[in-house]
Amino acid sequence: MFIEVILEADIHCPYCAVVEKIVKRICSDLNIPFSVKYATPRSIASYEDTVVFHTYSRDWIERFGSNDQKKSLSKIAPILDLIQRRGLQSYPNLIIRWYDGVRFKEIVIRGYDAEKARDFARNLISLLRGLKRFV
Amino acid sequence: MVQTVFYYASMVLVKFLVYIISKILALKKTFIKEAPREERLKPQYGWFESKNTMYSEIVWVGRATGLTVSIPQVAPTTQVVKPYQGKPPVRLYFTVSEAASKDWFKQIEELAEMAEKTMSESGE
Repeated sequence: MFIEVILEADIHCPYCAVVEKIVKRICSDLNIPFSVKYATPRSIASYEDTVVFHTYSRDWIERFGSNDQKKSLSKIAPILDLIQRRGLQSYPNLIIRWYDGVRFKEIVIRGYDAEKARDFARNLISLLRGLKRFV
Repeated sequence: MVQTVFYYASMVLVKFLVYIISKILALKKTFIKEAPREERLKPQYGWFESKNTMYSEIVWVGRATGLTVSIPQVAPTTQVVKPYQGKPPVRLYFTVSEAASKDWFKQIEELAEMAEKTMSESGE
């Protein structure tokens, strides 16, 4: 049907370059279309210490968020408000899109960690391989 | 001494005469006043709605150029067709630490099930 991988990256971001290198190789091996979409200057590097940055929105966390998210919300709420108000975009974002005949489905992976790169790549390969078989 | 007295006396006399003559000439001068203008109640330029009984139209009359443009008020004849909209996408967010963990696939399955449940409830 349809499957593609998009990387939202910044030109001056070293993490983005590493993620691009890894994902490009995986996609070329599995024969999946891969493209890089460069973020605007109004973008920020994603920070992944807390799970609050899953959605970058206070309203979402207040309505649907887990207990962990709600606990850490009080500290980080002003930053989230700023992000929402300015319409900032984070990077690097790895978006895996596929169409199952009914609707588009997307998995968005934010940020990059050099220590977990190997596990991340292994999981990504197995996910893409499974999706390709399914789609 | 005598000459200077005569000189100044004649000068004062001449100045006085010039002053009086200039005043008399100024009185005789006629000043033309501006005639009172007619008040224009109707605007001469802008948008106008014509009183045409056959069809309604709006006329634009320009200020500087006197350009007249008539715009007929045509009722829309074509039906408004709703554009095709597919179902909204399902989007799941993860961090790299989550994506690198062993339980990632379990999380994806759980979230996908939750998304399907909420969509079936909302009827999308």
